[in-house]
Amino acid sequence: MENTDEIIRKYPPAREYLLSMLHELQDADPGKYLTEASLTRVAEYLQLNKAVIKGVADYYSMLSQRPRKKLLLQVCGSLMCHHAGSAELYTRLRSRYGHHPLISLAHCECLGQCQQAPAVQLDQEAFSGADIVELIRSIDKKTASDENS
Amino acid sequence: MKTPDAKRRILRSGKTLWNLADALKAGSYQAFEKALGKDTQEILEEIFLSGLRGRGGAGFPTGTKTKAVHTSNTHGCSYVVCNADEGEPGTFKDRILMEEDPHLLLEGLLIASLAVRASHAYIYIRGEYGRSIERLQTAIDEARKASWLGEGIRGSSFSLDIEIMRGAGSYLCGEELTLLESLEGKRGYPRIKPPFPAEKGLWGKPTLVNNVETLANLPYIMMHGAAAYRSLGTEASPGTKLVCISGDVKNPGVYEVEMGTPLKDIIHGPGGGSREGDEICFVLLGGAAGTFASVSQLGIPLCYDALRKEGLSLGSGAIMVFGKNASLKDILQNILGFFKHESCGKCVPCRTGTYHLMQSWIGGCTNNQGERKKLLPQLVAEARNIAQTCLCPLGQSPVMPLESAMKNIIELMD
Ligand SMILES: Cc1cc2nc3c(=O)[nH]c(=O)nc-3n(C[C@H](O)[C@H](O)[C@H](O)COP(=O)(O)O)c2cc1C
Ligand code: SF4
Ligand code: FES
Repeated sequence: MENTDEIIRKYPPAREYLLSMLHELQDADPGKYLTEASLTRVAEYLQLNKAVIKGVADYYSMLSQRPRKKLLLQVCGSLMCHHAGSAELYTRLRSRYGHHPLISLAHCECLGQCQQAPAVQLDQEAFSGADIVELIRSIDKKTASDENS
Repeated sequence: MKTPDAKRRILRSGKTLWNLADALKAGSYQAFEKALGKDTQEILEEIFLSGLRGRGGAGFPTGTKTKAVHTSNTHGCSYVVCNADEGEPGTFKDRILMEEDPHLLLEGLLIASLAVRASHAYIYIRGEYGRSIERLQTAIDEARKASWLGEGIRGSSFSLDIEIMRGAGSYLCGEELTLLESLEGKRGYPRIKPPFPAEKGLWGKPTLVNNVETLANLPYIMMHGAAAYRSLGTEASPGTKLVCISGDVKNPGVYEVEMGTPLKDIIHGPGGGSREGDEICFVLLGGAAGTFASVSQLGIPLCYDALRKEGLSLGSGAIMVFGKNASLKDILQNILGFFKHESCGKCVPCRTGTYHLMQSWIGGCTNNQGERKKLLPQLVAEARNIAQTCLCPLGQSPVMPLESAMKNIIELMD
């Protein structure tokens, strides 16, 4: 896996690349979050106060400064999904994955998948709520390797 | 090959258009090549005469904005930014365009950049749109290799680089000035207008901000001319529009329809009408920051002005259809919850106002239907106050669904 400096140096030392760096650092981190050490390195590289970097990271809901589980399973709770029963779907998923060691379950706003409401997203991959069997299969596949190791 | 539908200009047929080879076969980059042979004034004039209006929600004339950026660009530095933040609930057309036909967007960006003499363009895209990001990046890489992007494109003196910037989960960042803040690596707090991006945008330079679908219209306009473009649509809303039909219909999805098509023909045509045993009770147009229409209003043509005259809005093109099982009470609660969640908290009227709107509605929801009908006008008055005192357009949004619900469908309150 690339280390912090390798990731940061892929970008020119300009503030416009801050969000891109933070995204990539978070994705590469085993705890799926922005560590203090990596935020410090970004601040040095961009020659900005670390508090500024943290302030930016704080603002955006996709960025986390606390460790997270390996997979993020989001259930859309916006209009069309709510209307199509996302609350019940969330309850079902919670009973299955609520205490799963590798999965964080969360609500989110419209995922732009309203034609297949209720919509669910596993990391960057979208699923239709109706196709829960496929979703469960995909989760099992993605978590299997970790559980066996 | 099947004859392409004469009314399809943006949604091109072809299964794998994200490959450069297939996109080229479908005609990609021919319009840009034609534009390369024209002078800037000609390009600006063609866009202006087409009457194209912004597809991101506000419907501002694209030609006017493009000209303004060109005029402001006196120091030889301007930017083009594609707004691909698509966060309005019920909207998914930009995602479909980017996933299925990324080269169409790149070509639109090339033409826009040529028109305002920009050498750098950005696509600010929703962080959650994993597949769109992947397809666009592949398309950019392929286009660069084939010299459709980069230095001295096609042997001309024109150079353009396009970079993808991933958003990180903020609806407000879809608002153009907030988007520019975010692009500069800052928190998504709105800037005060004026100045508009066309005068002072990214790093204070003239910047053209356009929605994905708006840019996707430019290749057609360049290729066939403004007059051909105007052969579809109405005088004030020329061309076609992508609509996102969702909810209680047989065939939810993205469709390209002629501007001016009556709403009911869209819902019953491509949308397939209501599902077996159901019936259409009301429609929400344009997303959470949109307006409710009653069934009796569905004869209205889909275009900016006719809808505005009725107090309705086209917005992003979301058409959310609700049938017999829909609860207006729940839907309003969901909308108010959305605005409360997405308020950035910078100004007090919106921060406390959106919270209070939701709390009042939830409180009112324990009461009976009659009380809720009486509560709605109070919320409308409060939302109007917020709209008048807040800093940015997000705080001006809640009044739209509330007021239209009160005027058009209050008798359907459960
Ligand atoms: C809260 C808010 C969110 C917005 N989100 C988007 C969006 O996701 N995509 C978009 O194209 N425009 C969005 N807009 C509209 C933009 O501010 C702007 O009008 C648009 O990018 C201009 O491009 P156009 O002229 O091509 O429509 C939003 C506006 C507001 C107030
Ligand atoms: S109106 Fe709302 S979203 Fe806009 S600046 Fe004020 S608090 Fe932020
Ligand atoms: S409302 Fe859930 S994906 Fe759009």
